[in-house]
Amino acid sequence: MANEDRERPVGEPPEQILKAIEQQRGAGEQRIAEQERVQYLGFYLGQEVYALPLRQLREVERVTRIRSVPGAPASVAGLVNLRGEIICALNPKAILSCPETAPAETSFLVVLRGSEEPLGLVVDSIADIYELSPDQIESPLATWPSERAQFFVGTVRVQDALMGVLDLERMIAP
Amino acid sequence: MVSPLDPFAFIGQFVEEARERLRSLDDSLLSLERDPKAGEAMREALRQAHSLKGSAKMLGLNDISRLVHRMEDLLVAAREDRVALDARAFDALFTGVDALTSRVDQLAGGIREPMDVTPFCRAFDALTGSSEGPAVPAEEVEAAMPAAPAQPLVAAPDAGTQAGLPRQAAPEVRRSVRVLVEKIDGLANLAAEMVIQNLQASERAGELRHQESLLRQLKNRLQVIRQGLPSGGNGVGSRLDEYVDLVEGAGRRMRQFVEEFSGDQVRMNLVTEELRQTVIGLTMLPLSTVFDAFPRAVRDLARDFGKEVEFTVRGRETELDKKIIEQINEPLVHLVRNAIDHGIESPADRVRQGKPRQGQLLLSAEQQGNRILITIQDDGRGIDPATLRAAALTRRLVSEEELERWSEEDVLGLIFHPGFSTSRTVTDVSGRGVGMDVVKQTVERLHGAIRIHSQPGRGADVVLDLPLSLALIRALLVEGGGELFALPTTAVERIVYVEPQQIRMLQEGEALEVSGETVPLVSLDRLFQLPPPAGPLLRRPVLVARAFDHRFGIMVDAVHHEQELVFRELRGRLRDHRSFSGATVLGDGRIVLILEVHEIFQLAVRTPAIRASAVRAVAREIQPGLILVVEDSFITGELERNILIAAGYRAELAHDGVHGLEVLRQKKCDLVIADVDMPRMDGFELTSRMRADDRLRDIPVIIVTARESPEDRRRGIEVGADAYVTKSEFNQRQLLETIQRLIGR
Repeated sequence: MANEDRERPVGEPPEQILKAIEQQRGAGEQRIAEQERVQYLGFYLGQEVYALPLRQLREVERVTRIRSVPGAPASVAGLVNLRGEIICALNPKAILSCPETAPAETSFLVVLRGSEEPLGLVVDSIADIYELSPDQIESPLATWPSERAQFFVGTVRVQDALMGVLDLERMIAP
Repeated sequence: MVSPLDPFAFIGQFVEEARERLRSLDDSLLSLERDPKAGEAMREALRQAHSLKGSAKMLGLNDISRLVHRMEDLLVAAREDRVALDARAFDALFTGVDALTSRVDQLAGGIREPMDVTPFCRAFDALTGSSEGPAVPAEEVEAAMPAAPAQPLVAAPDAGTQAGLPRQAAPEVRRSVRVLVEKIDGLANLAAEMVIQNLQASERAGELRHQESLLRQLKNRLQVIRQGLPSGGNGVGSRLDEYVDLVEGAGRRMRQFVEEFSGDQVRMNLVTEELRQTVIGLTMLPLSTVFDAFPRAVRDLARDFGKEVEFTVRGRETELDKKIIEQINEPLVHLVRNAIDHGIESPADRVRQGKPRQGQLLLSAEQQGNRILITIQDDGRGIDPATLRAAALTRRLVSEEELERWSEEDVLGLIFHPGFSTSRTVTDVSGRGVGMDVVKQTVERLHGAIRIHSQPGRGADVVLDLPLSLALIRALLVEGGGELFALPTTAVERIVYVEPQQIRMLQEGEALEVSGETVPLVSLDRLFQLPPPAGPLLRRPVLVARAFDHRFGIMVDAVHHEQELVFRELRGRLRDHRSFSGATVLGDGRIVLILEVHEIFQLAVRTPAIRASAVRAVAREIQPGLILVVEDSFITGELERNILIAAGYRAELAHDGVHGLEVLRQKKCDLVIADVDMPRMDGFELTSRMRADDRLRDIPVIIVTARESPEDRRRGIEVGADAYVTKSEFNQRQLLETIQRLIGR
């Protein structure tokens, strides 16, 4: 146990991100709507940053062990034991047909909120929290093949880089 | 002893169910009214109506079942586009729901008189029949409807409600709440988590005990050093005295703490276990929910088949997991039907044989530990193995020479073969419904087993051996391709150890001979495309399992042990992943997938395309090693024996050294595990006597003892033990590894 505690700071999501997720719990949807600006969690898959609305997320945890399920579809990375709860961890890289990069030393499980079964996405690391207004989100690049474009609400330019805003419902549709 | 079924005993339950169904029906009708093409709403409405009709019929509430039946007819006609669901139709349906709701309220208030549903039924007939029979003018339908939806619908003035007040159900006697199954599952997960946390705490207590023994050793060493020094004075000696005292004090406090902690631990374990049992109990129902329908069914079946049957039900209060209860009815109905149809003879035949006219039929349930045994017993003609043999040969299910080798149990097992029936006359009942093969599959899916005993001419009994709860299963933990899997023990017949040359490579794939029968073999790592075990494995364990009445072998890297697992369903996108029936979380947090044996069998015969019966090869089954456990504590001995058997060894128990030597001289043992402190002859003595005996000299000995001092350890090695394991550091994995190292399997 002690060892693990010492390891924790390495690659742990920044304090303010966890706090933001915590605040989203129980935060009324109206409040978000009033502001017009919505908070997004940005995370890395390989070198690219993707984002999901914070209100669709339950928590972010460092992944220690993923139990692979032989014969499961490629979109399923495996099962993760999160404090006794068995969570089905999805592999977003397979879903989005991203190039499969070498597994990061520390990866994170982004646990989704309100899905019928407990679901999570395995991501390489956490980038930041972004506040975006709808007009900032541009439609997905026309050059993308439709099997990739279908999972995106659009893209956002963040510091000269393009961040893909994901459509969670489509991604987790079985 | 047919006890009359009092339908009113079930009214409370019915009221609860009916209210829920009527609410759903109402909702579905509303959705349908908004969108008459909503297929899902139509299906749901039909489902609710159908179930409601069924329940009402069972309780003899004919007014309700009649009315629901008409509503169902109208919906079916609409689904088949024979009738359009127009405003009139919806008015009629909603009026029907209202009438039913008020009737259910009356039932809740204790009013038993049926309501007059004829006018309602006539209205529905008019709506439904309009396409076939003479067209009914709209006015007539409206006139036939006894009450417009706007008017309050009180069918009986004495409905227990006062005029002018809104309808209100009388308070019910049943004290129960409805809880979503998911909430209970969540609770069960938490309880399981607590059990696991507790196990971890127990392990920590073991570590503490070890630390305490180290402190004691430290003190002993200090004392030895102290004795070598001059006493008294202010030199090193007196300072050492001080240290000895300090260490001794620390040791004492530690010992006390460990004792108290262990006490807390034991109490905590008791509470946790009880909590877990209680939570499991939340999803249990008494078997009466299934059994109570049988007296009536038996009466009707007996009449249909021209038999006279005295029927006895026992153990209807026995509780069982709701999920099992839901699935066990159909197999039971089939078995009871079989007993009446094929088992019990006609009264005339019975009298001719000197039996009483009335056949005896018993349906009973009893709990045995974690299992429930349900028995269906009759005193009829029994199952004649000769008839089964003949039928098997006629149907060419098995060759004559193979059949000769079969045991009586194998022959009786034939009746589970798909499409196997020995009834000479095909009756309308035995031609329908589930066959015995389906009975068996259902029972096995529930992690149960089915056994048949028969005495020709005297009767037969079928025993369903079911787990108490699906939440807990006994399973073998096995390793395949570097991953842990669990296989329910009910599916495993035995474990054999196999050398590579025993495996036959056939065109269809691999096969293995197990006691004269050639069975297909599948290895877990290859099946799941996992890496093969590292290093050359001279012998690999094979679980001999049974599925669909076929034996087959599952080769694994290692068999760890048998244990009780908390079963968790795989949900969502993995629900249809048939290779695994569920998952479990181990004490160390690892997730283990639970193998579904039928699916593994199908994968096994699909992948290398083996057909179980097509395989012919010879191989010799290796007897697993025989290990003698010499231990005077029965509990410890049994524990060790079970660990060994679970790991695939054979094991014998001797209660002291003298007894141990006797056994060793009679049987060829491959290894001895001995305790030290035993009456008559201790483990050291036993070991040195073995080393002095030419025939026993080479048998490896492992000493497992509570004696932890280095002197004892040294003595153990001196007398010739091959390994020395102290009980405080005892863990089965280490023991099994030691055995494997010593005898190489």
